[in-house]
Amino acid sequence: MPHPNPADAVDAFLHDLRRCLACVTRDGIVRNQDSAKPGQDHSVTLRSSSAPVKVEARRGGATKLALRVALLYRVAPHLTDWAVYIVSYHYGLLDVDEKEILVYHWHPQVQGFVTPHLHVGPGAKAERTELRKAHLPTGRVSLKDFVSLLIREFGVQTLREDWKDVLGPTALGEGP
Amino acid sequence: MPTPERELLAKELTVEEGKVLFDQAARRLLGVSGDQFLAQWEAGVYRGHEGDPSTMYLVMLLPFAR
Repeated sequence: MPHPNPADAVDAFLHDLRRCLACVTRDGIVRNQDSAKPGQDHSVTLRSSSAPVKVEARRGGATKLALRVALLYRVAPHLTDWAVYIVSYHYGLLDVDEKEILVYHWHPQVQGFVTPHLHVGPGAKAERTELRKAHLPTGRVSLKDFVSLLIREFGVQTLREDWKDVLGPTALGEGP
Repeated sequence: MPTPERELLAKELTVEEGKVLFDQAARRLLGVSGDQFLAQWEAGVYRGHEGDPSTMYLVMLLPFAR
């Protein structure tokens, strides 16, 4: 969505990210300095990014899961206004021992794997070695899609009463 | 159930705070300092390992390190 200046565009983008993540975690987000400067990539991640953020799964008793989320974005002119574009993402779901279960990736700036893909990690306990090394092709995955997946399929506890409104149709498994 | 949004901040870290965050993440994930990872990444040491999720997570935090 276009905005009159870079700072407003970034604020709106981060506001949406915060609302989305607040459906499953109380951890805040942090960004690098000068994070609205046009023409370069900026990073946003969960405040506790050096350690994964724990989330409670309501299904399966005391199961605990962890998240590791980071995005790179760029703010750029859009006609006469400004807009934020996501240029890479890392949406990771880990078990309580910090073993990756699933990681959705898109990092087109790095040679080798320029299209969006999914990693199935050791936390998934998949036996086939091909799966552990595979870059499984996906379309672009939004953070809302990922958070919806956590709630729907992994039983992660919701922390907002309005989570269905925040996440939109994907929260209910309906296509856009 | 209160909405926790108010508790959340999109804090803009200073350069020093960003370097600390990056350093902690690099040590936790790969057992190297943030400076070491940055130097190795720029020297191409991780070429061929771009598919590793831990490596790529750190790559997405690079703006905190520079």
